Amino acid sequence: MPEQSLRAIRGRPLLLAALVLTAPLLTGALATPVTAAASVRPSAVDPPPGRFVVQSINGTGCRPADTQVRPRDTSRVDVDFRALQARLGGRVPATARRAQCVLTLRAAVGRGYSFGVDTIVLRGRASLPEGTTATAAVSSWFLGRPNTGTVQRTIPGPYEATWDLRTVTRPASIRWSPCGADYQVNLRTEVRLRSTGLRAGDTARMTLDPGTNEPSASYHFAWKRC
Amino acid sequence: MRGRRLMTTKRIGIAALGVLGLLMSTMDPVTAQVRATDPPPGQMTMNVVSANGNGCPRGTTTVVPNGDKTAFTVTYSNYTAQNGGGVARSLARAACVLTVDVGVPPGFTFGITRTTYRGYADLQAGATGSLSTQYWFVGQPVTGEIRRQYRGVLQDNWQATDSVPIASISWMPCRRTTYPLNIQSQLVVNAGSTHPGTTSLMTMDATDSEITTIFNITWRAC
Repeated sequence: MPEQSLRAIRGRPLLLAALVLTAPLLTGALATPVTAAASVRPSAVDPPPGRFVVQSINGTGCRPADTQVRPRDTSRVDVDFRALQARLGGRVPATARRAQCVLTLRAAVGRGYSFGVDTIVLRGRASLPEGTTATAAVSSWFLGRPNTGTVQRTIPGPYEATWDLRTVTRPASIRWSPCGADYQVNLRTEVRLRSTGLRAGDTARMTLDPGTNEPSASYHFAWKRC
Repeated sequence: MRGRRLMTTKRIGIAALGVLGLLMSTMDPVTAQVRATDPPPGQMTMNVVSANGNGCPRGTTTVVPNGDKTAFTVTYSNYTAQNGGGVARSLARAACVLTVDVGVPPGFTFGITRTTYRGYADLQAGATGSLSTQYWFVGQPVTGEIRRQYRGVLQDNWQATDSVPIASISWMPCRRTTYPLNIQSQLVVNAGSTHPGTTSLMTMDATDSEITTIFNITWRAC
């Protein structure tokens, strides 16, 4: 037996092999959201007492200083993003075509529950000349886990107005967290722009903005006993 | 060489799995009394101790573990490789090495780490981008590189998951030991020759990992 292997077996951990189980994947195809006009909140039980705690705010489009998170209870978290914007055209660098923010949240709740994202609401402003397409999207996954839920809205230019995205996930399609685990979820919120023939000199902008009395993002959660 | 090692371990795995059920059932009452912050007895744990590389400079990365240190999320705000359109050649590659202390219980333990990378690709026609990952314990040989290539035209989020088995034998009776594991990721972008004047890029948003202990066999009770 080669010496390397012997040393490993004498009391050190050993990486056996790198098995690639999942092929490269585009997450856009993963989600099966259902868009509806009304905000129905299907949940197996009333949200348990407690609230969400922010564990991390980080991304190309946010810093803790420009992101205000308002956890209301265990059913909903509102967030005001003030720097989440994508720009395209002119001398704008390629890195500015997309901006994202990942929030890591933990619900301080006793054992015995599963939870999942159901309703997501985003709002902002778009200034899209002809020849541009904007996308707003939220991806969610439980801390450490590979499965991702995605909802998104695509707006083709020309478009010059406020926009919103409101997605309600049917109860049967909610991705539930492992039972009684740490109730930690990552929410990646992003805006991005694509040129489909933007004229030289034109610029496009897609932002998340709070409304007069409304947050720029609301994430709603359903709970069930397990 | 690697093939032989893997086969050997598989055989051990199958032989030992029968014993596993017994061990697990005797451990249950103990687990119930342990505080959530203690490492679960008989389980491997992970603790991110550092992030190094031009993809994760100081102040741009956050780390959040779960309660029993069997999983974590790392997020980035400055992990982008880009090429073409006049950006500096040095930006074509971005990398980050996460050093993770893997806690192993006494005895023979077999587990699997599953690491998921999430990001975005904006690749022009003719451009390519790649995600390469490698795993190694400090002082031991590096595993083969796992490489995924993405081709332009592509403007979408991407995601990739590696499953890497870990086996450890610790002779320390009744004492947990930690070993530093390096998890390296690297993004490389080639602009290609179709539209060299336009910038293509790949960005890493987050790295998630979890460790699942398949079995742990101890030679004496503690």
